Amino acid sequence: MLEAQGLYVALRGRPVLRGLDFAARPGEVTGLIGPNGAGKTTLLRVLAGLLTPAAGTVLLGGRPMAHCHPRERARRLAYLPQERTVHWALAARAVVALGRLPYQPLGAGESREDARAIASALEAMDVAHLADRPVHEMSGGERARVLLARALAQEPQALLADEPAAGLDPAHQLILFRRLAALAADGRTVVAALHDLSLAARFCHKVVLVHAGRAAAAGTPEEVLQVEHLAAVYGVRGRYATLDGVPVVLASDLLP
Amino acid sequence: MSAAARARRLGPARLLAVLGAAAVGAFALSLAVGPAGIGIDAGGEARSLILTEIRLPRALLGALVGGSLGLSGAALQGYLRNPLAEPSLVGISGGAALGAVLAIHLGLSQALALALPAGGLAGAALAMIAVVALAGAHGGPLTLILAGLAVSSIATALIALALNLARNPFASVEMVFWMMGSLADRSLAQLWLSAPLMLAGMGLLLTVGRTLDALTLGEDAAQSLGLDLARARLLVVAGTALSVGAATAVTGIIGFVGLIVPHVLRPFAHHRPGLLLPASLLGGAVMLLLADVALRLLQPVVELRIGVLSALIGAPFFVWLVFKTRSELAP
Amino acid sequence: MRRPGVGWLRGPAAAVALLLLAAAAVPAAAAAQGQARPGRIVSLDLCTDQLLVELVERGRIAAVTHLAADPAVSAIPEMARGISITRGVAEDVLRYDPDLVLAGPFGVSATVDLLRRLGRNVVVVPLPSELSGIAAAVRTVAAAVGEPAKGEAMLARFERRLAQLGPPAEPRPTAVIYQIGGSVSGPGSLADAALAAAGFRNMVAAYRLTRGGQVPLEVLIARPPDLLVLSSAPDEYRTVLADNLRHPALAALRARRPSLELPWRHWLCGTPRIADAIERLAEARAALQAHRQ
Repeated sequence: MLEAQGLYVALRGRPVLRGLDFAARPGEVTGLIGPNGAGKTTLLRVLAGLLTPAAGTVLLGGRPMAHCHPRERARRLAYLPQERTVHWALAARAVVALGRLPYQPLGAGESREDARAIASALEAMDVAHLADRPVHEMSGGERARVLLARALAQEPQALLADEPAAGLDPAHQLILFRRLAALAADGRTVVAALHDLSLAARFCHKVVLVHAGRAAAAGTPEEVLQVEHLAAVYGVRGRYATLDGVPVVLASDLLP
Repeated sequence: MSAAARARRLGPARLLAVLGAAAVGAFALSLAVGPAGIGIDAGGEARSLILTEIRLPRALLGALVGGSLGLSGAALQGYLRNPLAEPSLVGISGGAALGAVLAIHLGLSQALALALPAGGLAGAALAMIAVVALAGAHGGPLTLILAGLAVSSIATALIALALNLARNPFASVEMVFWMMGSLADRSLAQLWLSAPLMLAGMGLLLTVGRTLDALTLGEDAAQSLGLDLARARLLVVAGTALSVGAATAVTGIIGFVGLIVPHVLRPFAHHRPGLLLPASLLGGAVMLLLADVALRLLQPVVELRIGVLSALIGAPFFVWLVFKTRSELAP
Repeated sequence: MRRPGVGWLRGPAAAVALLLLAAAAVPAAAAAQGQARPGRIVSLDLCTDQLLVELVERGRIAAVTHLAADPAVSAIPEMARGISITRGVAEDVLRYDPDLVLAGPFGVSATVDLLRRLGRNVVVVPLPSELSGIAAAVRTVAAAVGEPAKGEAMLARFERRLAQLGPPAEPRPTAVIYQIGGSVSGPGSLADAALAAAGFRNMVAAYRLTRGGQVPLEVLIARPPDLLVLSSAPDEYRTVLADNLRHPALAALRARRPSLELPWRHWLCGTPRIADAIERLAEARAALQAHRQ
């Protein structure tokens, strides 16, 4: 549902993506993994339509992204950036309400549709009881849930998340990724960039390993998170294992 | 629930209605007060002359200029995500004053009256561009203030130079007018000249509310919500240049209105930058009109300029604001 | 109105008194100054410029300020044209090697101190704010430049002109001198003295002014004087401060009431030339009073 072919992107003169191909299907959580600086965030921004590649195409539901009007795109695709700053002391509900902007013509207030979508997004992320609380007064985990609720309020078919669980406690990591998995199960296309290889192994149906601007490997977590790939891309000795029925990726040592 | 907390529960429509009523009241008060206190100390023809040619322009100018300053302050703060942004602090008012001074002393405004606010407009726009170039698109709050300081210092120096070179015997007194501002003895003609530009600028600024709301989440998120950031930047620059440029060309630099009004009203606007725009427009009008009334009531005791009054209130407020947000201000 | 006190010096008594004075003055002056007639005089103030140029021949004037030849502010620009100009800093003054420096009381005190410390003869002439002070100023300058007779003659002419005006009829009309930026002829100023000498009552006292000497246009419109005196044309100076002179309300006032344009040069300095201003004002006053009858 979300595809990219032959993406070339250069930032500040340095090439970041060099001929990268990508595909994500509805009903699946697709994980983007790779070392720091590999180009994961850049790839997500291109897929979200925020960055125009120098070469290559992005297709959303079969249609080229370039032909999609930004507001139309915003109704079909939600992007959750890595940056979790909320610049003003808005209440949670007001933050989630921002997700309805693509549906509101200029000068219009909140419609009943909007109110319903906001309420259900708050419910889905279990933050309805925090609706009137300023976001600044929340814990990291609560804030992450509110921001994901904002993306849900857009009622998108595709959801792109950049490190959605970074810096969260283990409980919130599980909560967040379980929710993403549930969203995928509902028929949406979910793409998430992440560093935690165990989380990727556990929750992603498919994983794309990005290295030096290309897709070094793509497939199921078990296929991609092999010893050779971990050594070649991360420079670590590691392996894929199962513990208590849950997949785990362990990096035991640095390679010389 | 305390009165303050209850006030914060005001819905947007109620908030704007209250502010609107306050603005109308302040306007009426400004018409009623003169150098001799409340009322007009004359009869017949002199009375109507005073009311229509002196008090009315002063009140209208106070409302429009106050509105422009309040609104542009809120727009800059929302767009730059920086609670310290304000037209005079960021050097825009200084640039506008320089443009106006050049228009006068190069004889352009003698040839074409519109050259005066146009000069202010051009100066304001150039100052904005200079500040953004200096501070960089992603400069932190302190970097922006420093860049604004640089631009206003240059503007002030060039104004002094221009006044000197023009062999103006009134150079030092005129300098005080530009630096400290004045609403006194302005005429309807000047109002007709600047009002359309101020209204146009304010109109442009009022359209960026949604984008400012979305920018709460950062540029990427705002863009992903389908909003055009480049267009918003253009609207903010054009709107500020038009409104602040035309205002400063007629009244000189009046500082701190755009800093205080959005900050005070922010809790009442539920911290939403979009709602803060019309609220700050009305709040700015109220603040400037009331300050002007206070000025006239104080006249028998002490002779003050409007810019001095706004600085006396605004500068300590600014210092307090810096302390309050000190922890968040690491550049 | 008080006249400068030279009235009693008339007739033979005057001639004898003058001779005795001269006889006493020359050695006294010579003993005090070392020379009775300085030959390289520098003036640092517009008002002393004007007195100097009228009392002393060109050859003895080393330099005056740039204002002396400016027709906007000087009553005798043509007489000052061609004389060297000094900007008033001590180093510039010294290049003329003056044996006398005339200065006004404002603005150049640091320069005056420096010149005195360097051993130059500096005479500071007080700025009169009343007509009676003009005599003292003229006499101070005349004595310093060694032309006491010319000074007395100048004062005598001044006296005659004032005497010719005659006493004003009652009730005296009101007037205000209204300038750029709303400044007006405050009580106790030279402008105020000129108005009084011409037979007007200065309206400014009735306005209950604040410090700063400015009157809001509204006050002027609400209680206008019988005669509005303007010291410059609305477009004469390119400054935003002149906006009050271009204000439609002022134009409306001028359309309905008498006004007079009296340029600065006539009344800016406390020299006998102020009689020009007083005569014009008196003319206007007489016309007003005639119109009333």
